Amino acid sequence: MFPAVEVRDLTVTFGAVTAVAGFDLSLPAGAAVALVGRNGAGKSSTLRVLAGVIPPTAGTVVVAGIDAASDQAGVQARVGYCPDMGGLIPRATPWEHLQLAATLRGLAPGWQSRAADLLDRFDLTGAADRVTAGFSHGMGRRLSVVLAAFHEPAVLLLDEPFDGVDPLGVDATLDLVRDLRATGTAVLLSTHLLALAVKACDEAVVLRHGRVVAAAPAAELAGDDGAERYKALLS
Amino acid sequence: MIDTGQLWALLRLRWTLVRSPGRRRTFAVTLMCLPGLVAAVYVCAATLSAGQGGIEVRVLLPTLLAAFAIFSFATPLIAGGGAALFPPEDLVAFPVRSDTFAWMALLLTPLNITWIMQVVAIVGATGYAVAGTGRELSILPSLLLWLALWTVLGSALAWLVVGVRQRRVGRIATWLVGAAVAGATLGLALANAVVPFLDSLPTTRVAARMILVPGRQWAELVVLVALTLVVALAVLPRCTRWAMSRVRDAAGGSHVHRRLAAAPTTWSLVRKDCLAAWRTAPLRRGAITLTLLPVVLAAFSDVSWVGLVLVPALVAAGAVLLYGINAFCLDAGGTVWLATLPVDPRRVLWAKALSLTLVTAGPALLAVAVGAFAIAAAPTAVELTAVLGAAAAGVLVSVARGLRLSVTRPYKADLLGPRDTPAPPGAMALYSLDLAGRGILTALWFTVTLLGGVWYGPLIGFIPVALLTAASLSGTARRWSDPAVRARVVTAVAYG
Repeated sequence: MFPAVEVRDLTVTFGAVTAVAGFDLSLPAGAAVALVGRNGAGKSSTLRVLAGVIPPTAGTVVVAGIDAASDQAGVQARVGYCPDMGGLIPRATPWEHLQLAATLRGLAPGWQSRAADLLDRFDLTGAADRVTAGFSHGMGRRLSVVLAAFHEPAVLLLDEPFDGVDPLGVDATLDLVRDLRATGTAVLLSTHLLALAVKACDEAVVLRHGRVVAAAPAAELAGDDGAERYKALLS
Repeated sequence: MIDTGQLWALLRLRWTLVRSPGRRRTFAVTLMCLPGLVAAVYVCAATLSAGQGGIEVRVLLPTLLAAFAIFSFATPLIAGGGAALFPPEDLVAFPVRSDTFAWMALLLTPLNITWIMQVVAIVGATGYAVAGTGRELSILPSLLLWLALWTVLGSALAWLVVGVRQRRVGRIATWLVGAAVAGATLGLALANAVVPFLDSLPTTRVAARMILVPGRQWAELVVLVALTLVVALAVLPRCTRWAMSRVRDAAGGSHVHRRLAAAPTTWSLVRKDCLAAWRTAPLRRGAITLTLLPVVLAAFSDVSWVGLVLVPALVAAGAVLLYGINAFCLDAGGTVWLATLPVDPRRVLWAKALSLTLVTAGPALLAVAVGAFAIAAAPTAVELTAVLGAAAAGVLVSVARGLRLSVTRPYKADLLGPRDTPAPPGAMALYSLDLAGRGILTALWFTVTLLGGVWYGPLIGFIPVALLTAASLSGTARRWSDPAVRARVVTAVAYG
């Protein structure tokens, strides 16, 4: 059985700036790993490569046994991605986002009931037919999580999903992550909120200057001691 | 009165943000050429010998002066008050005064292609009208003051209407006024009363005094226009302050009807773009204006089929400027999400081309339809094929250019505010000239194809245009197939 995500020696550069330098990761199905680190550590760049938004400068990315270099669309069909900011078409409604996703992902008829259920879980039913330009930041984040999870992906990539989200929205996200993991979805979560990372994930990977500086069970970063340990790794 | 500190700081920042030395050079050269172009047009026109043509143009001068006044009001009104160096939401953290927005918009006016073309046309016509009369210099003070006055006054009036439209009652009132003006225009045209109406305009007296030999009446006009300009300069910041202080009431319409019908993949993407274009206030206003403009022009001028050949390509160029030069900006931050969906990138580009063609072809074809309705005579076969060929070629050329710029020069622009544009002001100015130039060349090419007098002449003329467009689209598709290029577009549009 191949891992849900296999990343080898991933490097991402933007001109003279190296965002990710030799990142390795193996994520089994149903596992959840938190990517943590300072701003600019390379977390978002790593997730963008896995989501197919930007190409890697070097290295290999294999998702559910499919090499991203040879079958990008195959990988994208199996990945759900919540970007760190934005990620929504300002003049489309949540329902139109879901309808477009269902069409472009070729979802079977009946997707409407799952869409309605997800909107309900994230308290977005009342806003389902409002254009997202008028959404608050937290509403936008919640909808981004809904869109990432809509097609029950093999790999769920969440970049700062809790940013600006109220406690009920945070609970809905944590519940969704738990439900998807139970069905075999692997989760990669980037966040600065250590307590929530510990709640959602089994493992934590600490990035600094694009490199992995530590990987440990997430529980080791829990509490005040964990926070101190984490801060020590950042400097 | 003017806080030059704020204005210069913003101008400096905008200039700093133009990182490419090549682009800086191009922009600076274009900017320096504009006064030279206006002066050259005037000198060329004024050195032509006066004849019957000069007298005819002199008769048209009052209409041109009135048209300039109307466009000076309409252009900033369409732009929600005027162009901005930065979207207002980018400046919320800084104490930028409303006065600064007013001067900023005024300063950017000469970068607007509509304003440039108006000035060139009016200056050229005036030069031609006074050629050989010995009044080539004496007409300049009053003419230039008139242009300055209406540029400022038009801007002030536009801000006033923007302020009024912040309330629902104001929006309804302006729609009613707009409908009344459109109805009156149509009524004048149907009653064959356009010429008497134009003769009764106050600009007839203004033009008559402008071309006088310097004397008391001439001096009175110059002083009057100069004084009104001073008053307009004083009023402009006040109008802006008032308009910007009014918070828009609930706009309504943020809820939309759910469309249940699913569509095939490509049409889903096309539908998304068309809906987004319609839901974007500046685009909607721009498209309506581009559609109505030919109605007004047709009502107030004697359009011929040969003249109609020039219209659709220019309208298409204008329509592409609305968002097509940065076509991915309609998706804004959503480009990141769209990039993660399992769709062939070629299909995404194809859908963009289709939606842009629809948005561009609509106003262009409507302009042709309105023009055709206004012309009493039936077209000959060659005139008909030339008009249709020019419309198709104009749309193709503009769409191909828009797509190329969208892939090679993407910008972050969500077009959510009334004054937002798909690219920064300098780039918009260059793109305006670029697209207008292509539109004019396309239109002239089809005018040339009329000379053969055979109906298939324009069709043969269409072939090289289609081949050039296909080559351009193919080059754009090749660039787009590179994942690094797509990533750059997505990153630029979503994150800036």
